[in-house]
Amino acid sequence: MENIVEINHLAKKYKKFSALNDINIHIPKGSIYGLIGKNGAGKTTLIRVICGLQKPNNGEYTIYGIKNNDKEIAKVRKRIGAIIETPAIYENLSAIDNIKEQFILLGMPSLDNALELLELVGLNHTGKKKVGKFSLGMRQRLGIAMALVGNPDILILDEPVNGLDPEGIIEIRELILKLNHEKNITFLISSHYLDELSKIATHYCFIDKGNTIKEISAKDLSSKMKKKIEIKVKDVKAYVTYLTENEYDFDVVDNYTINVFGNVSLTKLLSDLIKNNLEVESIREIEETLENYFLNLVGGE
Amino acid sequence: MIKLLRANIFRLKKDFTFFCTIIATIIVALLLIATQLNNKFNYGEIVNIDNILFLSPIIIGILSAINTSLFIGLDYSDATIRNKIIKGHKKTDIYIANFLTSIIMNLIEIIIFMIIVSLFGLILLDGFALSINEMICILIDIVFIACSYSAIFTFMAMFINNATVSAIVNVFLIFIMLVVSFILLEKLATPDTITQSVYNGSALVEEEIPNPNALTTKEKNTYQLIANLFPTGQALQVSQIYKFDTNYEYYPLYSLVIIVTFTSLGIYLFERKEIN
Repeated sequence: MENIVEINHLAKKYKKFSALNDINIHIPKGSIYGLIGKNGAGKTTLIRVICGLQKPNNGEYTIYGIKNNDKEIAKVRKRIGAIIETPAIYENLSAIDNIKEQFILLGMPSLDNALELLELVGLNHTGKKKVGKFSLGMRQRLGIAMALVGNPDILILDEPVNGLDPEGIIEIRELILKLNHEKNITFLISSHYLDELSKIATHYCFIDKGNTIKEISAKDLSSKMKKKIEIKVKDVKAYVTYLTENEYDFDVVDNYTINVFGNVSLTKLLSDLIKNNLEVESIREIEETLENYFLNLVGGE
Repeated sequence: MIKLLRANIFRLKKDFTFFCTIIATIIVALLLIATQLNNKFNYGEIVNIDNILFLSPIIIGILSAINTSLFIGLDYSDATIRNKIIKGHKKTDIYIANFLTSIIMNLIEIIIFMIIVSLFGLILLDGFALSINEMICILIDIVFIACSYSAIFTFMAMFINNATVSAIVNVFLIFIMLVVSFILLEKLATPDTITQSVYNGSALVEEEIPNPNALTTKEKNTYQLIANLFPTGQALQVSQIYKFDTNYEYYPLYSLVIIVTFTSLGIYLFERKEIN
């Protein structure tokens, strides 16, 4: 699948602090790409750099094959829409005036489609109400409408559901899915709401302390996350031999813990281990969530 | 850059602060006419239209500080400057579009002020004292003074990431410039000689003696240069409040120094500024 955005060894420093050390990301066309990381991992910095607000100190990125230091990048940027942290909208203007202003900024020949965009996000009835009086959910939706001006192919959303109530979260989720399925818009979404992200993302990138920890498709992640059996043992070495010989899908977590993946019967596994004189301290089945996976990956409670 | 300018104009038409400063301009113009009419009818003074017409750059300076700061500052407060960069607009173009928008705001207010003063002045006041050539020179000077204000206030607003702070700083700055200009021009107004009464043995006679507080030639040239460089200094001189350097045709050159310095420095620094 073609990658719309590719990031290679990207680094960004603020004086002595390294916000990004070594970021490597490949965003396929038409995907909903989830960017996951703790606070301070570098998610927003990465998005700022890709959007051209800041320059990297090292590494490069390409958008539609155009490098970040190429003069043509300005033209390619017109195909991007973004919301970074909070929607960038004029509070003293109405929703329709904000959209019109964006139309003019992009040199669109006509302002006729402005109302259509508001209809898409459910804000077509706001009339002359100033954005300063909008709720948070309405501002987020207007921000998405602003980002959609110019029919971008890529939408970058930084924490799009922060501060929204459950209804607002559902609205944004459905809007993202609709845009992805109907208009084939590629999304890059950073979010702390992992449960919410897991409902829509097709690809994930886990970052920590400015480094890419793992890039994985939702499909591969799902197979790893489906179910696992956690076995606590006294010494993993013997177990590794047995599990390898019997073609189990497993991970050695530490000297005393092994995770076995796949559709394995706990009872059968335990009985097989005992038959082979492999003592088990404890054994349990775990349905892994994206949160658990992420925490295991980067460490933390 | 044209797109950026058009977007700014679209926003300007709906800007409440700009609308308020236009109203303020009209009120100030009418108040000045009223004051001068009072002087004319109650004290028999001859009041020329020039007395008021060319006060516009002094008044507009204060309004420009407010307008430019709040208009540009809103881009930072509402974070909308991000939209412009994300969509591929160059930082140089953003800066120049903001600078030109500030000039447009200033010129609109100057034109409104002059139209009102001219309309009432032609009916109620005592005509023009300056020659047509002088007036044309002064009008061109006023345009350049407006551009100087825009250069300075745009520079400040583009680097102070807060509309309110930017407005406070720029208003403070314009008043500082006015005070400094007043001081310099007052110093320049110091006469070279003073009249002193001296007893010559039989009677008191008056004689002219050098003024100990008079400026040296070097000091005069320096003060005049600084007064001409400051847009407020030029504004005070074209308003006819002070008449030292009446070579009005050279004032635009001083303004160009300010415009080029602040704008090129501003663009250079803005290119390197990281936007959050």
